[in-house]
Amino acid sequence: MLNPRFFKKYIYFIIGAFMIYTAILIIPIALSFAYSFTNWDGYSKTIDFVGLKNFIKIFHSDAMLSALGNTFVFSLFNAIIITVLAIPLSLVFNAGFKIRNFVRSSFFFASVPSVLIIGYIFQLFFGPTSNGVINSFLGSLGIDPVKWLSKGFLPMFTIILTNVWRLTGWHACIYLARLQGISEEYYEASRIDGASKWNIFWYITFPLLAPAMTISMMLIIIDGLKIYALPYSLTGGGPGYRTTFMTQLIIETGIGEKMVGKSSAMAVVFFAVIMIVALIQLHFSRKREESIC
Amino acid sequence: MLKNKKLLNIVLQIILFLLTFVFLSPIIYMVLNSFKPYSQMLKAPWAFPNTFFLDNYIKAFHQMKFFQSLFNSTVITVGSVFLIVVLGALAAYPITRFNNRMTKFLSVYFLIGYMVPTQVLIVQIFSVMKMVHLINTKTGLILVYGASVSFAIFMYQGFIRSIPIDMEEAALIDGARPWQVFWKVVFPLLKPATATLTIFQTMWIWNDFVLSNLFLSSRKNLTLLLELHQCIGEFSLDWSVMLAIMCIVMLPMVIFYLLMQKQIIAGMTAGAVKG
Repeated sequence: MLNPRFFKKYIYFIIGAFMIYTAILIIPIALSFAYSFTNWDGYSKTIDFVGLKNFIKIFHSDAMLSALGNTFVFSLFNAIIITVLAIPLSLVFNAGFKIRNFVRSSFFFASVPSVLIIGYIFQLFFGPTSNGVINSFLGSLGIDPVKWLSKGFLPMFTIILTNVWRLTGWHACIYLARLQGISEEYYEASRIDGASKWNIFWYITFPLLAPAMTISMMLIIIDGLKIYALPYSLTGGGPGYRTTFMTQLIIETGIGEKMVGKSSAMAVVFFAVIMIVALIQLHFSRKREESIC
Repeated sequence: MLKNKKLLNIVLQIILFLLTFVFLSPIIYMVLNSFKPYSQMLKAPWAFPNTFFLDNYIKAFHQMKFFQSLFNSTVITVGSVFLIVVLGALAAYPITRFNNRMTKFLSVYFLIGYMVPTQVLIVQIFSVMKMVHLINTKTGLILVYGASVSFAIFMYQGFIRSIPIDMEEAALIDGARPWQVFWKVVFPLLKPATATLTIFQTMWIWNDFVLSNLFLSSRKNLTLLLELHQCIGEFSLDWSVMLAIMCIVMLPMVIFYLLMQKQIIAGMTAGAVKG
């Protein structure tokens, strides 16, 4: 620590960050709580206090309930599928193949283009007519075209699949970084004891990946909760509310329909959800890491 | 036995190689078809272009304001990353090096932003920016991205703690001012953190659509990605031209990735990703 008497000389170091952060993050957080009890439209000079009306209204609206449900379903499956695929993929990256650098760069590459571009390309892939890339492939096998972006649960499935495609390579690299840090001694000892390959993975490698899993899971879940550009370019939120997610609904209600009060109430509810998810996640990953060390 | 193993290895590598191609097929599809007329794209999407066909790219450059939007993207990304790195490092320094009520409060205060994604606050940020008349300006958007400074502070704090304090104390005793000590002694030592932060924030800000789409509306302010969005809205009938535009829009980030690949993979260890 530096001499505490001179702290005053350093205060101006903090001012810039403090001001931007307060204006762009803290004030909006406070505003979202304040607006959530009003019927403000974002323009007029009069603001009426309406109590809990907005909260009651949003919990009775189909849009809100589907968006909340969709966000939950997406985040859950997205996290599970990416993790289940990324761990084996990281083992492939780590295996002594000659072409492993090429494979690693290729899989990571999927996360380089903007999500918007990925959404547009996959829209062509999952096109509903027989011109869609996937459907024309299915057609050559004698299968009728599938309405990927409109039928039943398929739009949600398509969005999850696209996001898995985009992020699995990225998360495999997080696991790879951890794999490379595991000491060779563990493997040697278990090989001498005659453990099978599967046992080595399940009892040694997998538990030691826990720290990487904490980081990776946190990133996937937070990233999943605020999904926006992918459904925007892939399905436009439709059909109906079937692929409408929270971020989109908050923006459309607040800016498109000019109901800032209602949209703020949605944001407040969504904060609560994010906080609860973050705390649960923190709790579990701590417990898991402790039980290993 | 050994020979069999070698053979198995080669077979596995070939399978892996083919799988990688299947995995990359959307990207291959995009690049391949951007060099074909639309009719051929529909008939034979996976065939190589018959001739060296550049019409799509010529049309693309006519439809989009390439240089204008490239300039906008660059200004916005460089400006925001500069703000995040400089202000983040500056603020993290006293917060880490002093232990009093104010610094304790500040480290918690800045942590809130680490948990709350900006996207959720968009409507309120929008009304704040409207009050100060910064809607539809590059400055406004740069400030909005600048809120990621909280993440930079979080990262730098951990880093500064690992640097021994002796050199700073020696410099202060020799009569250097805090400002000089920070820039001449501390900041150069933070280089690894700065590099990681710069790379990941650049990738995030360059590719962001949510915030930019909302805060920029007039054509002269659009970023590359927004220019693509605009063109898709206007001329989306000819998809092969759109694919050419997508390739053009994607290219700067691809070059950035190829140049920075090593540092990006190294940065994964630090978990230095937020966006």
